[in-house]
Amino acid sequence: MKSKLLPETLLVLDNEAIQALSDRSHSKHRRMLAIVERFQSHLQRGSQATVTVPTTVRVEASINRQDPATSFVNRIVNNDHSLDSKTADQAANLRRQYPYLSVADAHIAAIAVVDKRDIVIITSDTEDFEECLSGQNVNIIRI
Amino acid sequence: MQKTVVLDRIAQLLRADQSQTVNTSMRIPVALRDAASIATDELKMAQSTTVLTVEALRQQLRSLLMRASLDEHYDNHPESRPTLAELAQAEADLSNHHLKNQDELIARASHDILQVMQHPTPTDVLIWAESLRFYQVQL
Repeated sequence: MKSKLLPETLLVLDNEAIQALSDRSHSKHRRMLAIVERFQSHLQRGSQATVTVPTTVRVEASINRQDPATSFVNRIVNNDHSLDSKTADQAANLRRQYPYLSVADAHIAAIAVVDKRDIVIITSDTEDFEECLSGQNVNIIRI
Repeated sequence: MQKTVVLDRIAQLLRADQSQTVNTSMRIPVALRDAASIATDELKMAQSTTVLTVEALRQQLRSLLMRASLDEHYDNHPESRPTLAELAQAEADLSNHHLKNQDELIARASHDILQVMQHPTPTDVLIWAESLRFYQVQL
């Protein structure tokens, strides 16, 4: 088995993933912590993987980083992915092609298309992403 | 300063604008400096030794911050600590291992391995689960 995530892997969280991480009463909080635990162990072994949350996902999940209640999430997910022009164009194309994608999900899918790194998507909508993403660089994980 | 305040401050600084830079003098082993220099000049492993050093420092801080935050979280909420089976499943999923989504088999392997081994790792559980599956196919 692979001993670690590829060095340049980008871990992307969807709405439910970030909610599960931030809310300890969420039914999948422990599942999300298990993923973070293993991610951290890969970092400890030298992986340079990054965990990110798209800004549109933060809006959908009502996560304001300035809110003291998000302290734990801020420490774990230390990186926002902002929707730049190139990613927005790709997201728009994906939404036209797959109308069931929300704006936030289209943003996530667009990252996987535009970004050349290996992408791991943590999501409750695995089928949606599997249908619109066929790239070899994407690993879709059900939360 | 309280630990929780320190962790929040580190998180804030790691998220802050990284474009402002400062010169700093750091005492490091000569051999390490030379190794870094060869890695960047000859092997092009990074743009410069400065980039190499900064990225390594950033990664290490991110890892330490995550570890300390998880530990603090478990101290305050012990019920949120994942089980061995959950950790093994997460490892399989993150690594895109062929036992991805094999919750039941991994749970069984986790239960079994704890009968015979002290402090097994998630990777030990996955090896055990692979073995279980292998013998299931053989029988």
